[in-house]
Amino acid sequence: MTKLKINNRIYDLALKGHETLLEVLRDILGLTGTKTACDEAECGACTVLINGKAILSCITLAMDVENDDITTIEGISSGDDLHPIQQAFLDKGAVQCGFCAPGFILSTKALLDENPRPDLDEIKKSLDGHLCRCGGYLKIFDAIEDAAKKLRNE
Amino acid sequence: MPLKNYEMNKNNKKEFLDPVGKSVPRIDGRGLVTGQTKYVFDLKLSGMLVGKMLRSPHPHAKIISIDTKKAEKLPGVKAIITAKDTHGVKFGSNEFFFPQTADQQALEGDKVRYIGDELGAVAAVDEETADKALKLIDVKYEILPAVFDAVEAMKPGAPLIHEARNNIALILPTNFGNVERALKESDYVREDTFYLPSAAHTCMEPHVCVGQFEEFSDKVTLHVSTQAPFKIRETLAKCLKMDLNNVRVIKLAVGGGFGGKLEMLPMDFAACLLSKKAGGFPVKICYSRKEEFCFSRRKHPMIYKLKSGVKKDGTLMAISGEVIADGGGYCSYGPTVLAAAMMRIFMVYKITNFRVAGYRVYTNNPISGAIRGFGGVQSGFAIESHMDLLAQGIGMDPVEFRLKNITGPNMTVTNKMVITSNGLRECIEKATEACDWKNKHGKQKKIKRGLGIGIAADVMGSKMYKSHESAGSILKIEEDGSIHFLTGAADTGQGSNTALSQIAAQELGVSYGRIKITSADTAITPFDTGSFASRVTFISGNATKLAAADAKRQILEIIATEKNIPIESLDIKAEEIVNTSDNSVLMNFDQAVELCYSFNYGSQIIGRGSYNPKTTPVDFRTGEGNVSASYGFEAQIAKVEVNTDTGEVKVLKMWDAHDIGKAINPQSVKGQIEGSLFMGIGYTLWENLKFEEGRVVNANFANYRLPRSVSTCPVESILIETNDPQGPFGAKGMGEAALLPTAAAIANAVYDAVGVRIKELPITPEKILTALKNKNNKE
Amino acid sequence: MLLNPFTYHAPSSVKQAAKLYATLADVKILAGGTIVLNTLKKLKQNGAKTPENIISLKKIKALQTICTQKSIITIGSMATCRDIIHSKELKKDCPLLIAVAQNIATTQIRNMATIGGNITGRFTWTEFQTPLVALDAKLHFVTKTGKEKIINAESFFKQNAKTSDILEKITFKAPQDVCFVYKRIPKRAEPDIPIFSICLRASVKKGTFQNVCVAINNAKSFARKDTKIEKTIAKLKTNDKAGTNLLKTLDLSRYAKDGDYKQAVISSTLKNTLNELIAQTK
Repeated sequence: MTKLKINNRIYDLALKGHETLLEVLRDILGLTGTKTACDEAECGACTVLINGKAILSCITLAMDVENDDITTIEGISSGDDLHPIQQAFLDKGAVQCGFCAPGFILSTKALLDENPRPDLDEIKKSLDGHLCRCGGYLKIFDAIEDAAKKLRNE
Repeated sequence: MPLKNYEMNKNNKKEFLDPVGKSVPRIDGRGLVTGQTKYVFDLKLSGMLVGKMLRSPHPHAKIISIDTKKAEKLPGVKAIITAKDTHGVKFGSNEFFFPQTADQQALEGDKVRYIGDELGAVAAVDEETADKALKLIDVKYEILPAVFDAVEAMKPGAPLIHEARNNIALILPTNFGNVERALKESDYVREDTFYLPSAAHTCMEPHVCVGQFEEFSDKVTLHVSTQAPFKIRETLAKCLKMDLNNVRVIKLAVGGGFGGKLEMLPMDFAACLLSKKAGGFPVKICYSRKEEFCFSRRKHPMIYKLKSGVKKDGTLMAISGEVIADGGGYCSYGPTVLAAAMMRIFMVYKITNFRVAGYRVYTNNPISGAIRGFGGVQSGFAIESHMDLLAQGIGMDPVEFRLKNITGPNMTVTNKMVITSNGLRECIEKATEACDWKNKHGKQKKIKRGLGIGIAADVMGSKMYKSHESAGSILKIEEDGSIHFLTGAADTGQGSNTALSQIAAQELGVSYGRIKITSADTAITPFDTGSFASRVTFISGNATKLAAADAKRQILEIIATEKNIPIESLDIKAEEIVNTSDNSVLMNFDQAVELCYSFNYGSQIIGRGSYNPKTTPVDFRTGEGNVSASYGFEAQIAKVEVNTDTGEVKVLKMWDAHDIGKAINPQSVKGQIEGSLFMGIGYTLWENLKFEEGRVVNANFANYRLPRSVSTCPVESILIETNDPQGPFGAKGMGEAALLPTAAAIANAVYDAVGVRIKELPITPEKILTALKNKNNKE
Repeated sequence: MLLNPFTYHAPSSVKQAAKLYATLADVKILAGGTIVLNTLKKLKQNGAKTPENIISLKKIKALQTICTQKSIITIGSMATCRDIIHSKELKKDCPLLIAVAQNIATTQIRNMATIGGNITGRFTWTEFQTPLVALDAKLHFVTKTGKEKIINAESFFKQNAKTSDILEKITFKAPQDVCFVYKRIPKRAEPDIPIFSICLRASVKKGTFQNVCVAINNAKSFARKDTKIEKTIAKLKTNDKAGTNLLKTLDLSRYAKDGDYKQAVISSTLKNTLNELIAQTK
């Protein structure tokens, strides 16, 4: 049995070994917040956090991340309250169709947890692994700057 | 514990009163940021099977035989369908005005016309089995010669793809005034040819559907990622030979459409028919990213030839030319794409002498269809580059040249389009002011920087594909005062659910927080043509306004009776029932609803609205007709820097001044402008869907490059509100327009920076270096 | 896309991994997975055969360290680009590798991709090749019998990165009194794989270039030293005209056809690389 710790909950799974983390999340556990928009590790829609770092779940073997701390989009709000990053994405109009949003939000969390005061270039670079076709990215930058301020209690 | 719907309760939040014009939060936003909102991509139904399409590996071939026996015997295969299981109905997305373009069958039985053409489908217990089954289906083809170039396809002797002579599906001729005489009278005449490549929509959510057939009731339900559920219902019903009320198409959240999800694809039909054959189990068909690139829809590659004349004083005398659009194997929305590509110029420039012929040509390439801009991106690049070249020819500033020739408000133009509100002049003036055009254009060659302008117009409430293109809305006021808003309009991320709810709340006089919305379910919501041609705010918005006005009237009728006050003196404002004759407040909205549902009245409040824009039919033989009830306008300016070592063009900033009538939700409008603009930059600099012998060669994100965060530039959006006389609260809409002039603005800016003119997209570093070398050799 | 089935192995030591690698048939090493798993998907998409066995080095923690001892820098083969970017040791002793790592792919890939996977994946365009050649790095492998085998980076790429052993670590002497400049040309728009990368190493003494090393990767073949360019640079004076003079005598037809766009960009890249090195030494 493989133990996966996802959003602070332990799942005991009988895996065969070739399952990607993405497959486990979406198809086995029904956590469909994590999306995928390509088959080539280019779109970033499958991004989850492993030990706080943004990684692509479509090219991560589930058995490779046994005992690691896995965070998906389902795990960052607490109770009824949205995480300030989620709130900022809504407030700044950074979400249109929403398909790419979970990936962006998690990468943002990884960025701000490590660097509470990113400049615009650092923000842009941290998102270089994500595709958004609807929005053109600018409102996402606004949302991240807004979330950073709120997290710094400014 | 389920998360509460944040702020979407009926509290009287001040910012939710009078919501039109405010950037209120998305009505459906919470589920998107928590990942809880379901897309059809996520949909799992009990007993669901996996469906896959059987596709032709050949670009052009006769189907001799299809033997499915071996595949049927494979354990886990639940159903296989081919053309013989269908009624053989032909359809085409533009068939209403162009009957000859009903050229496609849901599953082809006689011939295949592009690599990927669908001739069958399989439903199995899992993907692996479905893939194996496809390989076991034995198809015998007689390979036919194929043609991949539109110009070659038009020549006599080219392989005939359909019955159309010279493979020309459609000719759109236009001929106004006297072009020959006007050219003779011109002081400067020039000819240019522009080459526009194909492109892909690259919606983040691929095409995906789940079809389910309910045998005992003979009903079919299709969950599908779509912009136009009613269009799919119409075509599905036609192909299945079923009544509309037995075909239900449901849209969930959609991960982008951009024109690629506007019609029924064979996969939608196949999912339903497979389900029927499999005994009613739901069948899900989901495209991989490769299938998205290769087998969905693509942008029409075009060759755009223009020959125009101008007078020394800048008067545009005549435009003539030819547009050749490579349509691929079938017509799809090709006719209206071509028409839109050609007719746009009349919205923007005053021109009396105009003769341009458009050809929509069949080739054995994948199908060209609608994509954001509907032909206007291709024509935008050609026309706006050509205009700059004409201005150059007479030594006139490109802005001055445009200002001399643009259309204005309240005019009927040469091809009988009736322009009412028109903020184009103000757009140009504001954009040029914002970028300091006077002092910067033509003055930064030393640092290899340049400014370029492009202008455009777009239809906002058009009718070009069906007998009616109406929208319908229903507002149900529930007993507790909460409001259930039903609309056929499809929100694909552009925010129509939100904007329409704002319109409903504003018209009804209540808080935006009261509204809950169900949209785009053909069994529950009224008809809506679909989310395309930037029509939703105008057309569906007007339907919504009418529905809200109707609901308001029903409530006020009861209050008028109860209070014995004439209904003309009553209104609902900011959640209060007001006697307008003395401004007294009679009661609040909750009390009013309570009264409506009280013992003596017991009247259900259900407001309904239907709106069909007032236009005139377009005569596609001449190009005449007022196609839209409203037109939107914009001016866009690009600032670029060219690296003459590497040829790289860097866009430093974009200015976009846009006449949107009235911004219902300014933040959403700007989000649409930015998204559309970056799609335009992508097409200008990097995107290029390449084909070799009918096969897509760059069918992945590694080789089809999209704009990313690191390649963005600041965008200054200037919203100009001209208050359209027919728009809901003056609104026109926003969806496509911001990518129409982008390519030309950048090409014109490149010329300003380094003096080279690129007439073929994308503007690659290679083209820049070659052009610079040629320029240096000449000098 | 679901992967084709395979048997997953997760050895807990390098020796174990090397033994497994030698005994299993039809096997691939997973050192990060950004290249291998992507390749498995491409193979599946094309209907090609995929490996029966995968050996993941993820659980061997010892392979992830970066340290400096007596001016020898040791980087474990499973150190990720991110580990390299954030390494205090490398910031002090070899910022070149950090500059290279920062340009690789995207943020998520940098969090996952390892230096070992990058150079043993047998893809010609991977980016740690040129700096390791310019650093005269040594690659430490462990054979199936558990023995250590050391091979110089330049020689390793000369043999087209072929090996049946497991890469354990990379060592090199912390550079002193010498400058490095790394430049790359992306295939299309950033972020993208490079079509050309160069790592130039030299010191400047009395107006001349000394200890010149030019490691080039033109993406079509593995990185190697370009002795012709090295000799040309060694003859130049370190003035403002150095970059232009370099191009005067260079024949770049082995990298790109004459008149080709690629050659034009390579020329300007070489010129800028040399000029940047001169600027660094001032």
